[in-house]
Amino acid sequence: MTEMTGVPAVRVSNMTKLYKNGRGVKNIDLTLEPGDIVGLLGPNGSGKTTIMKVIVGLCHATDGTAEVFGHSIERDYEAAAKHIGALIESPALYYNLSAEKNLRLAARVRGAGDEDIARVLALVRLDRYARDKVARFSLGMKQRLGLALALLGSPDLLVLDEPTNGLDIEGTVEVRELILRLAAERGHAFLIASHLASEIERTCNKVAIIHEGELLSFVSVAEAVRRAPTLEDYFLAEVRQKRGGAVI
Amino acid sequence: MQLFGRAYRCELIKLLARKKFIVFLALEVAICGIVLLVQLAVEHVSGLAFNVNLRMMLLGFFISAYIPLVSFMAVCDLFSSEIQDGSLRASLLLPASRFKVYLAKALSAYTVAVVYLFSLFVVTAVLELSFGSTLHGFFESFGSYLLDAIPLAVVILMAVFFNQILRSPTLAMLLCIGVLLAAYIVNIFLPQVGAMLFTSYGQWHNLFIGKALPFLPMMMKVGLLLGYGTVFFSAGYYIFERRDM
Ligand SMILES: Nc1ncnc2c1ncn2[C@@H]1O[C@H](COP(=O)(O)OP(=O)(O)OP(=O)(O)O)[C@@H](O)[C@H]1O
Ligand SMILES: [Mg+2]
Repeated sequence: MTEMTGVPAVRVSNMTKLYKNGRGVKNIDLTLEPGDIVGLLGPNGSGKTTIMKVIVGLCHATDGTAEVFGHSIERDYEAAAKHIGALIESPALYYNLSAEKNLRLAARVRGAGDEDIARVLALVRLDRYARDKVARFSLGMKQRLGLALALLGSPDLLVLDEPTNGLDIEGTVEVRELILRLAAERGHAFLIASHLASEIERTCNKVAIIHEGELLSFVSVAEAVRRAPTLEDYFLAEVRQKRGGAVI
Repeated sequence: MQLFGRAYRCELIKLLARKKFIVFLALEVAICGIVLLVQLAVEHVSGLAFNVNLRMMLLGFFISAYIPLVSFMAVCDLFSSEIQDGSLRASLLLPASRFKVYLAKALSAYTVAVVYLFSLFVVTAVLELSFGSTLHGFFESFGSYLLDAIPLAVVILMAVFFNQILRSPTLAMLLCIGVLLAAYIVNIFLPQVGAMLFTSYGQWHNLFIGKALPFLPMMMKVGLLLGYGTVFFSAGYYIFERRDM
């Protein structure tokens, strides 16, 4: 997929998403350039998944806008979605179908071919299990298939919600290396949610700290670890400052 | 348009992957065979030849009960089941708009219904032919099948709508069956109210075939049907489009 020069991969402006129960995220501003690997770091329930859902069009923003490569996700969904590969929360899979059939359905709509299905299966090391039904997959295998679905058709924006959830040590390292390689070689942009600071410190070049639905800071990882010994310390300092200096 | 075609084929493939739709089609064929055998046996014992029109005899049962039930299953599989197990997100993350996904799902459920309807026609006609019938009233019966395909679309749109307001596939299925049953009962006991319900056209070929067509009442019924269809379709789409997944 060709990326337009000068257009950010993602631009979220003053975005608010409140669910019916009043929870959600408020006034989020976020920009991703092609090649960026941005980590969303925040505790459980802080709003990481909500931000991702608005960017990929699964949720409608209450206020503000989200654009992907210059296309509004609300007004020009199809043009925006062509650029997006996503894995949100638990992977969305058809359990009664095989891994290969799951990929084939998505490939049909994306216009990807058989060789691309084989490519992504090999990338996540599921080629041996291609014909097995997903219902008989382990947690990590489902996660790998979810990643394969996101990578299908080589979209230039990948939105990955806790991508290494359930993966073994090797799997975690492989996914990290894959992300770094795709960003460096192909200029793909990544938005990655995690509640593990170490994971983000190793993978991302920028970090957005989310706390109780608010964006506390959006800085480069290099800047964060200059201000504090580790990203984890930086995160704790930001959250404590927000709470008015109270120490937990 | 190309994108819609691809989305539509995906929905059909998902339905075909569920063996029950093949099994119920086989059962439909079996029922036709059994009914024919019973009829032949009765003719043999009584010594009378009824020369029954199997196509028309079975259409009533299949159009008002069997095919709606199978269509409800298809609709619940594609909507509420997918919402419940989260697989709907797989379609919604692809670059086909929600409108296309909604339409593709509704249309593929309707495709299943139409395939069942016309399989019935073909199977009964072949059975009649192979047992020496002359296929009398061929065009009239074919016309009946064509006419009955129209209200079937509204029954499916009703199911699609109920699938948007109820999250549980079991409840959605029960509601669809309940409303269909209630409409049939109203039709029997309160025909003047029943005339306002779209389900009174479950066998609406009876209204047209073999009778002079009264233009105005017919137009009113077509209008009523169109109205129900439009309301179910757009109300269902409104909920589907706004929903947070
Ligand atoms: N569908 C929903 N309806 C109502 N409230 C919701 C819904 N989804 C999320 N929330 C609420 O919105 C807030 C943010 O949730 P979100 O899932 O975005 O958090 P998260 O940062 O992804 O958490 P985690 O690390 O546990 O995945 C939470 O308070 C949650 O309770
Ligand atoms: Mg989450």
